[in-house]
Amino acid sequence: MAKRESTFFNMVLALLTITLVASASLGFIYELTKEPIEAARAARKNEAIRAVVPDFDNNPTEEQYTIEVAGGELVFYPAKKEGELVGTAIETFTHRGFSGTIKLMVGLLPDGTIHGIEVLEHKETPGLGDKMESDKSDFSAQFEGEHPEDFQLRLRQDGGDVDGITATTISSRAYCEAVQRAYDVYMDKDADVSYELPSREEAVEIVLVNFANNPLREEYQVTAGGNQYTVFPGRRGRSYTGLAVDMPSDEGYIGPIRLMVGFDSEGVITGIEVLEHEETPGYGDLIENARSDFYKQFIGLNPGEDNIRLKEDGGIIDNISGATITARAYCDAVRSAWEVFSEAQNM
Amino acid sequence: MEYIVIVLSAILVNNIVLAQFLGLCPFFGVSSRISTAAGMGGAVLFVMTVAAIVTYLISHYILIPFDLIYLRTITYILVISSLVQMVEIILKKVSPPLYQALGIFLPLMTTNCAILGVAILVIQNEYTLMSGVVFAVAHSIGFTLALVILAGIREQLELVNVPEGMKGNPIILVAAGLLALAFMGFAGIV
Amino acid sequence: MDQAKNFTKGFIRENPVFILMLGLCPALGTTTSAFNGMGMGFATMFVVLMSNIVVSLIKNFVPNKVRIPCYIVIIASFVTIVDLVMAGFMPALHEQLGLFIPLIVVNCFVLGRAEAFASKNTLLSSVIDGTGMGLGFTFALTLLGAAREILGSNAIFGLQFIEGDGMLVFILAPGAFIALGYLIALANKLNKQ
Repeated sequence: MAKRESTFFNMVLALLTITLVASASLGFIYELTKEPIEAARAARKNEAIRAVVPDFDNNPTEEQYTIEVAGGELVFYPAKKEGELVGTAIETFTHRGFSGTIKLMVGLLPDGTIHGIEVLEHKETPGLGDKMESDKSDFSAQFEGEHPEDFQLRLRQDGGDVDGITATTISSRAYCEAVQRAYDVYMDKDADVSYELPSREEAVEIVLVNFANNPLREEYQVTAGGNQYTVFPGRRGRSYTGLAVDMPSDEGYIGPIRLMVGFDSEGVITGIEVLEHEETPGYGDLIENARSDFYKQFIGLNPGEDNIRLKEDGGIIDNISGATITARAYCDAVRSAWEVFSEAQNM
Repeated sequence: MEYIVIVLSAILVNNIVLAQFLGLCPFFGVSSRISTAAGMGGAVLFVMTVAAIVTYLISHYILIPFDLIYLRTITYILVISSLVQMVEIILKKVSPPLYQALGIFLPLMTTNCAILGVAILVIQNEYTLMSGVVFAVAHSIGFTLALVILAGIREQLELVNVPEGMKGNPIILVAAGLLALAFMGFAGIV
Repeated sequence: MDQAKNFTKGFIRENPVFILMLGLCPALGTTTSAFNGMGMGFATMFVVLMSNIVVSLIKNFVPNKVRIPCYIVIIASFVTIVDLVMAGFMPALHEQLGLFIPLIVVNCFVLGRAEAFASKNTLLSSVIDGTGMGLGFTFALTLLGAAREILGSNAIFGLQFIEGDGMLVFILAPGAFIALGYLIALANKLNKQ
């Protein structure tokens, strides 16, 4: 075959064919390698969790929750054995590594004692900074079994209790910072149960969708089952688009739970926010939207047609392990909120 | 503050050539005279900044929304090479003096891994557009700095009696190594 | 052309790193150990070989004026394939090599082989050229990695032969330049003989 002339048609044809074949084959390879890549990532994470907390029998990645902090976020993986919290693996970070961000998995026992630390990600110099990896030196071993309250997470030269890696002060210092961050946030989370719950005003705007009015200005009272409840209607133009119900309930495990439940005009749930609760940290507080995906299973359901009860009670809602009473009270409150919604429709 | 950290880190601590090993071909290829080194630096500054902006927009408005991250390498390199062509044509028409100064370096840009490297790093580090631009500008300044210093050393080296086996590239590499050693002294300032 | 010579030219006579000074970025950036250098070498060799094959096959289909963009697309596709496959099956090595995997696409040596050799020669010659040059590149990176690892960590392929730290500077950036400088001096000497 003779060499083709550089006519406009030939050039476009050649470029087009080659890019099409290239992107098609890349798409194919991408589909092929997608699963192994994700599996490799998940395996790495699970391995790290397993290495830093005591024996567990739940699936910590299913119960993970995230807390935003300055500069990034920490991911918490609670490890439980027979429903009891035995430790928490915390994915933490520092931006002060010698070559940028370092990600660690720090395992803390429920009282805050360090059980183990693994490096998830780093770009430190091979042969130097990478000695913080647990299989390359004993650096990470000195943290095991220490409680940060009596073990200062600073290098000896900075007045702390940590022996740095020779010639790698910056990486070692960054490592300590990441561990300290995990510990601080972990302890803080336990001290402050009502971690950033939304206000009533914020909650109304989150749970309602598709509205153009100010529902807070149009609040009114609805009587259902002998009690008065406050509701907030959503409107777009003149048409009615939904209703947010402020729903207190006093049947939580420890004390009252208060929800804000949003419905569209058909009674389908558009959103739920927890306004107040006093449930146990690590268990009952997983009803908070920021701590687990429990609330997501309600969205799109219509309590008039769907059975909003726990699966063990014959319904369709997945329980929160270790917090049945809290989860049940949550479902009850959602159903009551729907009663209020249908009363409001009939008014 | 964030910008100052990015700038110091890019120019001194993590110098793109001396610590990250990007853009070595032009680093050794066009560093025999200070004037050519400076010209190359100017061209890199120009192309790297524009490339960082364009690839940022492509990533955030096309690749990420459509879940096509795996086409990143192929799109970036195509965008960068067409960009270089376009810059060349526009410069020729709009500013002949600037074209005279940068023109001969532009074709070398496509295979300059510093350009593609910085474009990828901006996305990997999850910078905003503004930080990304600062990052690109700072890296090209770091590149120019390293290039001009090495050119200065090479101009002096011509007058020196170098052992037979070390003549040419070997002695330049050793000089670059010593330069990198000097830059390591900046480690820890940010 | 003598195919045996075609194959062996990549090792010393036309070694991409030591003689042609091409592909220096990955050669310095990834050679902190012999194993990493070898991994990078093989990844690059795969790309050179595959793109040489494809370029040689389609050389008559592609009009002259658009040949460079076409070659770039082909190379970039194989680079992405290497990137994805490594991420899936060799995650540890993939992380070590990091940015330098996508940067194979701008390795002047890869495009150079496609443009200077595969676009003008038969399929067989291109395969032999790609393999030979790829192996030469791998050889150079492994050698440089080994030199740096021996001097810097007292180890070779991860096996420690003397206790304790070596001359750390060879693991760091300056050592990369210096070690390569001396290896090139050595290659020059061998070539002259």
